[in-house]
Amino acid sequence: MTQFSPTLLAVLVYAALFVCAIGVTILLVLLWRDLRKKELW
Amino acid sequence: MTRSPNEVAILSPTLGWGLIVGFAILWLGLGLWWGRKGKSLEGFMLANRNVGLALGAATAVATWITSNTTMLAPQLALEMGVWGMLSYATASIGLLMFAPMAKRIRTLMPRGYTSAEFVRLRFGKPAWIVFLLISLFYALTWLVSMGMAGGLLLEALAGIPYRWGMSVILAVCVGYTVAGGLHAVIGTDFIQSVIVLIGIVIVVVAVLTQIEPVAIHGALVESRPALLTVLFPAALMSVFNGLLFGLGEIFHSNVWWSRALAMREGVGQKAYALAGLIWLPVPILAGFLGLAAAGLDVPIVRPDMVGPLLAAELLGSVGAVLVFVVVFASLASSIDSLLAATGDLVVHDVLHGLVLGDHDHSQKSERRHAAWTIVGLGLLTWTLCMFKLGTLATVLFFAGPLVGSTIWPILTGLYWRKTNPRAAAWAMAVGSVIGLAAYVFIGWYVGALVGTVVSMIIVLVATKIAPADYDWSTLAGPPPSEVQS
Repeated sequence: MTQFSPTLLAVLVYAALFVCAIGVTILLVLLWRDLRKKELW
Repeated sequence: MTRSPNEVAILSPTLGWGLIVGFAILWLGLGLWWGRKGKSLEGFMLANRNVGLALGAATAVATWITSNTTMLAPQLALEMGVWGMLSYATASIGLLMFAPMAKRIRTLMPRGYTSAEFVRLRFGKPAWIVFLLISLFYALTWLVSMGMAGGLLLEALAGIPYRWGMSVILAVCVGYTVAGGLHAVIGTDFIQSVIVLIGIVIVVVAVLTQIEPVAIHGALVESRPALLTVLFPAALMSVFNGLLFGLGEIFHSNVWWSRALAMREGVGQKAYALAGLIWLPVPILAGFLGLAAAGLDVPIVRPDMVGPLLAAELLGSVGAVLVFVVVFASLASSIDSLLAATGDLVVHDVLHGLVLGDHDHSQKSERRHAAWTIVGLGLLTWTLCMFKLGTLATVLFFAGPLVGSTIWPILTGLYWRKTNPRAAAWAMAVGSVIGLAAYVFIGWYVGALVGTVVSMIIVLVATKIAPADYDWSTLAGPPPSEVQS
């Protein structure tokens, strides 16, 4: 029976890790920008 | 192999209580501080309609993460393998698809308050009532699943009795939501989303330093090969079910509509699109913890506790504290959002729409009722949480057919002038009933799918037979409370 390969599983996990780290960085940069421009809320 | 909660508790109850008290002081303090901005009804319910991109994106991420992602994604991976975690990840499509809708909602209803208000103005009273029943039932289901998750987390990780842990988490969330309204909800959501994202990255990196994905794959081939199968019919169905559940939940729920209405003009579309991309990897990483637990044969107390227990087992007390903080933050971010958005529905649509009608339309009384309603909702949730109603999955997926049946009425209602209003009401009612029958007689993984398809057929066929001609400007008018206050 066809199975997901170990490489695919590894790529999936490392890619998700990378995107998650980038995501939190973007949020913090946006916060800094909005705070500076006084556009938080 | 199963063990009792106290046997696997890694944090001492004292440390657990210490963390809770610390968070309680922080959230309540921030709620009071930000609450100064929410004296008016619009300030309390919609943060003065001026939320920027950073807070807008973060609140969508935090609310959509929920404890269901950090606890249910590992469970789905444990039961349905790789497809399980991928099926959960498809829920991000809901956020991405809601992005253009958020822009349209803000444009069509510049003075709107709730999703139910849209249904009332767009489709009339019968559809409004059906929608309110679905929406309130779903919100309560979600709230109960969150409260239960909180109690289970504290019990499993720190040995704190379920009822005590659940009660304290609910009380803290009610406290800061009442004190600060949507400002407190959105402000704390930012902190909570950052905590969750950083925490989950740390936990997964720590797991990866101890065991590679390839080694986990090898262990699964030996012990649970079905979890790696590409053609896993129930799991494949769960992908569609997860996708439709996500769409239905986001399209109909006032949690998402109130944020769309609260964001500054031009922010909503960007914020939701960004949130979808930031949220996407979270269930994959959380699901990976479930697969790792299956591969490593970690003892499991309850399937929905597999993620936290794996982290605690591999990383010791530091991992336990980290997971505790992550799940506590994700719980709080969803409970506060649900309390605020459901409170808005109860006050704006049920109390001031259905019950009081023309008797009381002042914004002052609506603002006062909003705070008390949040307290009432908290008490109702607490009462229901006292009875453990099953695992998180069974509680949450029961609502799948209901929310699935709202997708087409909402979507066509927002974009299609011809949508037949009576068909919208029937689509939600009949789609829910037949979807629930499929849930009971076939399985949880088809409930949302059946509910959505039935609802779609009713809306499209009835509209083809008897098209309406809606005037969009009807949605832009001020609500009665503003006219008469």
